[in-house]
Amino acid sequence: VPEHLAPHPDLAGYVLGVLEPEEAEAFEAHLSGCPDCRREVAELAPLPAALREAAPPAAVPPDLEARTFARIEREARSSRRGARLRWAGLAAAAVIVLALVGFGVARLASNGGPAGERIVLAAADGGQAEAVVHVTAPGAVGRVIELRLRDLPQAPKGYHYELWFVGPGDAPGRPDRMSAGTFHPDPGGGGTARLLVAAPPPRFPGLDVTLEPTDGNPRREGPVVLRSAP
Amino acid sequence: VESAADEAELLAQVAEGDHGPPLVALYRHYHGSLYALGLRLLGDRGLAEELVQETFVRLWRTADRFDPARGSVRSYVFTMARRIAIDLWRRPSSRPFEAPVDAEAVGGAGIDEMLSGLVVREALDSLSPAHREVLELSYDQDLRQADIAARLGLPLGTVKTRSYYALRALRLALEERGWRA
Repeated sequence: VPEHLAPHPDLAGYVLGVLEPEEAEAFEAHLSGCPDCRREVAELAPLPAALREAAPPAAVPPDLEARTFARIEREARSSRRGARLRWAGLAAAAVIVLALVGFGVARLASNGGPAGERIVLAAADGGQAEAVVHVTAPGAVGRVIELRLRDLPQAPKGYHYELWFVGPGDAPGRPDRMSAGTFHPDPGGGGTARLLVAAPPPRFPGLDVTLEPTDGNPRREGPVVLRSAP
Repeated sequence: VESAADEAELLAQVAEGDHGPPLVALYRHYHGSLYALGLRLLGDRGLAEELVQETFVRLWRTADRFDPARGSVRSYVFTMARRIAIDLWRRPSSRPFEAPVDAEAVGGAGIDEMLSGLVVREALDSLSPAHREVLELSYDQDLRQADIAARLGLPLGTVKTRSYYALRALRLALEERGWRA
């Protein structure tokens, strides 16, 4: 049973050390018989030391709040603008992707559907050499070319073979063609290669293989070795 | 005065895009301590102001990264402020003439004591003026309770009661700020 319901009037003064000496003595006498007061004194006793270490009041410039929030408002406005631009960019990218997908689907249809198109290239000199080209359009990236060779002689030293998509107006000195990549047959004249090309087949309906000097010049210089049927 | 949970709630509102009243409430809670920290660490009013501004800009920007399970808003704010103070201190233009008053403290040693002193200041500032006044008179000057009563023009009994409730309020305000004896 607590000895007193209200806090003891001298408890705070005792903790803070502001009692007259005789008041302090009397309170200590009370304390020895009052567990409630002892508990409270124990709880509050660290506070005077904390008060002594209190930092002095800081005189924050009164307009700092307004300046800080003006800056936040400025940055919020410019990041909203940034976000709008980002969204606009994403929307534009989405339109491009959709257009490319549409384009890919259209080309795929013209290539004979998902199975792709199979084109046979025969030797230009009437010989046995042959290449079978399988063109698929797996998406917007371009055409995937599966090349299978038969009886193609080894290229002479310093030469390589090159596969081309050929446009209708292609003529010596007035090229209308796009490289699909370079290759060598295996020692038996066969071999397979997988090439990736950006050429849309309707724009370049023909295909041929030329023998090119390995000289770093990307232009077509060599003779046609294999060609698709007109 | 907000409890730690209230502060987390305020910061959650900031994270949802409200940089009005919730952020203002947090600003008013911490600006004094941050400014004092800046003065103490950087020794310059302009840099102290910059510390306050930068801390709140970053608090606003990173509000969505605050995870109440990992700590209090207070520790989030002061961790950020310490990092910003170090950045400000390293900025060559911060030290045109001489080393700051407290180069050591920026690195860490002694900063905990300083933060603790700032917490006590915040807790005191959060008390009612009547409570703050009676406590300040008790520890600032070598006064007896009768002197305090005379100074404030109050009956002695009132000063005794008021001192008690002021201590309880201070204890609570300190606990809300994560202070430990």
